[in-house]
Amino acid sequence: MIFTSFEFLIFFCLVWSIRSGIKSFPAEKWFLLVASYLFYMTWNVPCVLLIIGSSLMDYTAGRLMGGTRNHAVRKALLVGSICLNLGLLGFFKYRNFFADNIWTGLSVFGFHPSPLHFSVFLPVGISFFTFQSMTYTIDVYRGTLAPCRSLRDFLLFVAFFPQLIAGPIVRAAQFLPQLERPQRATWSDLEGGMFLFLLGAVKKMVISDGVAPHVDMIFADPGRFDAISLALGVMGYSLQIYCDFSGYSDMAIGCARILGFHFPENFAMPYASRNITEFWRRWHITLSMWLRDYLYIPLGGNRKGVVRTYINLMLTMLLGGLWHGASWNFVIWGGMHGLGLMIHKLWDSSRWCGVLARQKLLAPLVTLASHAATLGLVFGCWIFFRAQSFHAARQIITGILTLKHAGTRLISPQILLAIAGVTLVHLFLSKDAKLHETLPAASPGKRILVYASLLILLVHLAVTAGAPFIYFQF
Amino acid sequence: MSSTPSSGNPGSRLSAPLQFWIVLLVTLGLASASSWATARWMGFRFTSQEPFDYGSPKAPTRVFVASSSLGYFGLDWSAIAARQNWYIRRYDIPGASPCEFENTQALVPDAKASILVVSMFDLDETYFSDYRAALVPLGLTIEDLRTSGVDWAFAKRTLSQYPEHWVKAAFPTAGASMGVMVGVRSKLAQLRKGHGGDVDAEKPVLNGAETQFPTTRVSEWDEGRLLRNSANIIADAQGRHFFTGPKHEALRRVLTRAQERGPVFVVVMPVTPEYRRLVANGRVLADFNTSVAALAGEFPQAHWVRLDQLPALDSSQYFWDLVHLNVYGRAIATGELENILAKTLSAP
Repeated sequence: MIFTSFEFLIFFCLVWSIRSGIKSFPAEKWFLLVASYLFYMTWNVPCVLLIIGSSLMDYTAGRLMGGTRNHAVRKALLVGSICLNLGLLGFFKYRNFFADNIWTGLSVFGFHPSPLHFSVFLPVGISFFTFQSMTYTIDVYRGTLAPCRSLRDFLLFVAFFPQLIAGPIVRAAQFLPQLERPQRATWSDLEGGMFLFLLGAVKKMVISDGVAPHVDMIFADPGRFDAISLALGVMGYSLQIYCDFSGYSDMAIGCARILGFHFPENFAMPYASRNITEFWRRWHITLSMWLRDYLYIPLGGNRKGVVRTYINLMLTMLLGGLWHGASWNFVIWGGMHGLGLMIHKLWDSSRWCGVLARQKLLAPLVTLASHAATLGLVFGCWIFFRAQSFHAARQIITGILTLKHAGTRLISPQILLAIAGVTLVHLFLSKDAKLHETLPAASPGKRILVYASLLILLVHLAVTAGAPFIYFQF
Repeated sequence: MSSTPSSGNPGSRLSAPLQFWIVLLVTLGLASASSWATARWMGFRFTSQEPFDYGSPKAPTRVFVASSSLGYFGLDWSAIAARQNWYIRRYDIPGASPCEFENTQALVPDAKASILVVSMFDLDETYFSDYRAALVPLGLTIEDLRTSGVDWAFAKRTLSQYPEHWVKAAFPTAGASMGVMVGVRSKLAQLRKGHGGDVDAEKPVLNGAETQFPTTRVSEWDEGRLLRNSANIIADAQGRHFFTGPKHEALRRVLTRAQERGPVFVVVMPVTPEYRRLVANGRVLADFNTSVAALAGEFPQAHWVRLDQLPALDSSQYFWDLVHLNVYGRAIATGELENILAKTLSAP
């Protein structure tokens, strides 16, 4: 059941209506929990046991940690919880990846065991709910969060349907307090939530699904296209993945807001970033923050010298890449971003950066160059993220860099329109604008103008036979 | 719903709930008006089926013809009616398949013969007519989905046609993004025509506004245009192709009823070699042929006219898009069908 389907609209309207009619707060939470499990069961019935099992495990670990002051026991509980969570992820998501690589490694040394391939399906959303659940045990261990006393509340925190499948990764510290007292949406929440849902639908159904067929065609056989088509394909995919994922996040945050819950922001116009560090503060914010707080800082962050900082940065980004999928493409994608972050850090601390910053005449040029370099790096990295093989990625990069003339020219009007539309929005809208918060307080005329424009786009250009959200596979 | 002082525009004298409802209703009204205006400007059809009669009403034989736009563009019904001395009634339903044929078949109860025009494109279960939900009762769709044993993902997609149909009552362009895009291109091409531009750029078919018989040829398209068009078709089918679902079930019922009335001709229209190369590969073609063969075995009295296997039409120079014949292909297809009809009907 994807957010852009009629069945979800019906499901959500039912949930909203029934929940509005429930007077008892505990009953309301039970109802939301059951609805969330039902939502997940539309994807896969047995996998709901996985979520329940993983939640019970972390809840118990949290309770036991809360019940003892023995540091060794607390640490053992934390390690146990993390191992079990990562074990689940490893079993379902990375089993074949590890098996394939071990097999390849053994082959290099002359051993040729029969190849192993496990036919285990990937439970949808596993990367999200395991990471989300881990925030609880880690925070309880650190003492920054009190153990949750209600099992029902904890189960609901892990399974709450708007964020269950593809985030945002809501931390226990952000969500559990919202379950302590009844959450009722204000009119402003309702309008802001509906706006976000509409905005997300436009991003997904108009832009992402609109460009997808042509992007797919270019990435399926890049060798047959010329440089212009390849460049359009890369730009098209950059827009597709942004609109797909940020669209889903907007819809998730919007649904939660309509129900009276507040989720953290997940995207803040990342393509308007001036540098790669800023990009990661604006792209998949909840994952970036997770990696920072639960991986980079525990590794030592920037507290252990320059070299360790760079190593930590690279390690964090490599693992961040691997989180996206069990393939070397994602690891390389993460590595390229890690390298970009390292270079930016170096540049930022260099003498030249300061010199350029003081040249007021050059400022517009420097700004433009920074934006171009950031976009160039980010778009270039997407090639590895999307390409079906290294060979295909190399074909695309060489094709573009050598301005390949031979080959088919596929000029997609959908991609051109999407580029024009997204560029216009980025030019005229502040990258820090939080429209879902400011718009409901604006004049009715302005609100109508914005909402009607989005709805008009949706009813004219939405692709209804679109594919599922890209991030569902992660 | 609780109202806080920050809800709505604080400067307004209207209460937050009232502002919310006004904004919501005006937004919906504006979007609906704009959708209707676009649909009218682009000539979208608002009726699901339109009857077309060919030949003289005094002709001795009344014939029912069921076809999608492939039959409309690909066969000259006036010529066929004149040559056979028939009075033909054909219903025009954009993107029609046997599911929609069933509805129109009931509207011509006095037909003494039937011609059902199908193709690899029309019988592909993954393409839907925009008017399916308006013509096929929900109960029948559920029954067909159950009988044919299709998977849940496909069943959901089929069933979502119904709420989409209700949404279309307010927003007629909803779900017709390709129609809108092609319509805009067509309008722009018309404007360019005034300045010497080419008006034959990809004519809209789904909205039913196109009435001329195109003379352009797919063989003149560059590879980029071919790929762009096939990408759109692949996306429409969501990358799947199969022939044993509700359409198959409906065709069996249509054939059963048609056989009770008199002679039945099932004309299988061709598609371009490019369609077979880029959209539906060899396995899909084999599945299609298996499905047709199974029906032919089940209904041996029906005459199966395989224009899709006619070597003369196996060239993209006879098509104006990936599946529709142009006037040149139309002449060949019509001639072939006329010959077969004449031979079959004159046989003792």
